[in-house]
Amino acid sequence: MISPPGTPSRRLDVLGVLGLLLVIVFWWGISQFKLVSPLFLPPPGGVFLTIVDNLFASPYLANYHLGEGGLFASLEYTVENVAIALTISCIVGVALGLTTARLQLFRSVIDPIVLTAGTIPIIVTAPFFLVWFGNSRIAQVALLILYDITIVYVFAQRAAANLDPTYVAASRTFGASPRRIVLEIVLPGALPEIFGGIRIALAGAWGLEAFSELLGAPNGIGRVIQAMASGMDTPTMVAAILALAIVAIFVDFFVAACFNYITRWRRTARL
Amino acid sequence: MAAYGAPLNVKGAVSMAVLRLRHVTQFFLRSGGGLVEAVSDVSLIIPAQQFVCLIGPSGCGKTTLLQLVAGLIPYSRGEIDVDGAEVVGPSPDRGLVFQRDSVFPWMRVIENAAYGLKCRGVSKDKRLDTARAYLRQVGLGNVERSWPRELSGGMLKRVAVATVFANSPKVLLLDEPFGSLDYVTKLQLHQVLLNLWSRYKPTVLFVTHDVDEAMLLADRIVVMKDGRLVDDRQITLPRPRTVESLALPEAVNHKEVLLRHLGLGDLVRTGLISQ
Amino acid sequence: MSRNTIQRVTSLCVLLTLAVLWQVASILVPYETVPGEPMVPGWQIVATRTFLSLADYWPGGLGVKAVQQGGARTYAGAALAILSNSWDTSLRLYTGLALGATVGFIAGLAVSWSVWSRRLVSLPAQILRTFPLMALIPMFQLWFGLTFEGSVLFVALSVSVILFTGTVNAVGNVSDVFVDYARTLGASRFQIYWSVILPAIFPELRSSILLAVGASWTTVVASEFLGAQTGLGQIIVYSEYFGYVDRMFVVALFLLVYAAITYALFERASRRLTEWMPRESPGNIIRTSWKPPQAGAEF
Repeated sequence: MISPPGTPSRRLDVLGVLGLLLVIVFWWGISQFKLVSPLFLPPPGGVFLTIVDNLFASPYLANYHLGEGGLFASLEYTVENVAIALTISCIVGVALGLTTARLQLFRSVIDPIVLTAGTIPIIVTAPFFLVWFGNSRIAQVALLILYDITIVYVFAQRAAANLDPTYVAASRTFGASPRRIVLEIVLPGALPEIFGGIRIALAGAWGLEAFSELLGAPNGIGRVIQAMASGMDTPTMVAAILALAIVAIFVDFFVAACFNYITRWRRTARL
Repeated sequence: MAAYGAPLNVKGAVSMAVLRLRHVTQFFLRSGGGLVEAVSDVSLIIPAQQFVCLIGPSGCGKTTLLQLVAGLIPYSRGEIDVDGAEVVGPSPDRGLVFQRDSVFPWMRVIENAAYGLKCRGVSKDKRLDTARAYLRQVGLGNVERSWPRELSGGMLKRVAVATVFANSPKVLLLDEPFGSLDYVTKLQLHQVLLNLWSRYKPTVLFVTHDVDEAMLLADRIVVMKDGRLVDDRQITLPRPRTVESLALPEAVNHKEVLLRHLGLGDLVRTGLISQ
Repeated sequence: MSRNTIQRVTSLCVLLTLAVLWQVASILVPYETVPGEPMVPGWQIVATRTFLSLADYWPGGLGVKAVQQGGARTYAGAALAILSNSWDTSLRLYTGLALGATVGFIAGLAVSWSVWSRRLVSLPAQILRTFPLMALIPMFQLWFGLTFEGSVLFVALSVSVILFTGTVNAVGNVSDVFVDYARTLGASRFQIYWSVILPAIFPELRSSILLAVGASWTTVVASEFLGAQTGLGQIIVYSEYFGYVDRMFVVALFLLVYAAITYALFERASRRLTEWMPRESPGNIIRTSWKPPQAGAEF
């Protein structure tokens, strides 16, 4: 029994969930049979308990000068930074990308700047920001903005440039003003591809944010990870990493669902 | 008519294969639940070397039927066999010219044409020679070293036809192969196809929705509607057929009936189709 | 003038403009991180004393005495410092890149061989893509210490994730018609993989590899930031502790040049394999392979 070609696959594949469960079982098996020392890989049960214990208030973490609010407070800082940076980058990146797609002069100035800046391994700029802005929030957010803008800009520009010119031509025959064309034709049409770029930027942003917190930040889950590492407390360190990963995955899932809803008009590729 | 040199002495050059379909049915699972019969109890016997066109309105199941014969999808019920050998999967014995561009962009034209032979283990010199000969027969002798991106749609179709013929198939299947081509190119490709067919005589099943095309090419036209065969007509117009042949009374009669099958009955009656 | 040349000239102009802007900034921003160390060191400082000061990072040997042991700062010392640290970083990078790319690619092919394994792996792979790998560096340090192996394995991990998901995606995007065509021409499973799937996925794989190259530079430098004993990243982070922005700047410039070289090397190597690709994208033949990742696509 086969489905006719073109049927979209279900959102969450049962087999995929099975695969995920297998990974967790594998992890449990490794720690249970002591294939790897618990110092290196603590058992999954213990890690989850640690997350729950330290989630909202943690005297243990407070001892490390990591604040009273437990993992949640640190995560809050991290999530806030990612959100702020991504929002700013989206607005600026999409605006720049859409305009440069249509205006060649503008593009030949901005493109080389962004593309040259984009090939700089972003990690190199992190220490500079730390020196210039000190151990403050601005350093993290600035770094993230630099990273996110490049990605969103490239995706927005490519999306606008790849949009079938027929749509714009048709709207012009209807007498649409340039403002209308950009806002009501080009922007919605480019949205699927732009959303793809935003998701990619988001995925990378978590790691970058965590890392720059590792280097030096007033707060954040990265600081927790670093503190636990230097304290040789593997279970709590893994707990912190896992907590971040869970947040990242859920945010991505939620964002993807929103994006899919907003662009529900599009014809999806056969998967 | 045959403008391309002497016939080649290639193994299996003249085919004697009989294609038999017996009570073939194909189910699909609809996304909202429920079964759809894309192909419903189709029985058909195509004798050796016959050129059969299968026509029908969009969504009638003709492409599905072709894919079943090709062995690309398994059939739910019934039997399909070629000379008694049951169809269980794709095979070079049943060559297929696809609707979409199937020529591999990452291989040069000559490598494309020789691909089927390469899969069968023919030695390099032999297969390149054979491929070259077939390319010459379709009029592409001078572009063998080109990349597919440099060729037009019509030329790519010729490459596909040459490639499939080079494999000496017993049965030749075509899935609306010329649908995306312009009128003149289409007529040229008809000539290319008929030339090769008249020389090597595979048994042909050609799917199309274009009634004129069917009448220019086929010995026999089979009509499909809602998954079933509803008509089976022998076309005895003399070959070689030209556009003028379509104006013969016999041709016009066939066309009228076929158009009615396809749902254009009103147009025929109100006289929009000229007699 | 060809389009390529125009692009190169524009890039050069942009770089020059940025350099000029940097100089202007160094004049406008008079702050110092530490007495004697400007926050935005102008080119005059970089050109004179910065390079020499890099000699601090040469631990001695080859006839040049280490600065820590009382030796003077010499150009030879500085050159040796740059060369040996560049070598250390580059070795880690290329080893990790090669290892990760191979493992990721082969794993991707293996998984896409069967439909069931593709589906089994889909959710874990999607999660792996959103996983903040950079946060794992402390874990790698716990596991492998501040060693060569730790850096290499971390680079390899990031690269293999990119190549793995990229390969599985690319194989999934190969247009059905090519596979069906090959089957009707008599190709065996292996022949299909070798002569159809591998060439067909190369354009998309190329983007994955470029991403992986970028990621490899990021991860190798990042792993050095957190406590390596040698390497360019280590120099940057040491200088940062003391506020020596000028040294950070020079080493960063070296890193940029090296990264650009890696990209260029890859471009050259892949040129022959992309000979068959259509030049402009509209109306090209492998439409599905060129489709950019969409928000709704599985991964």
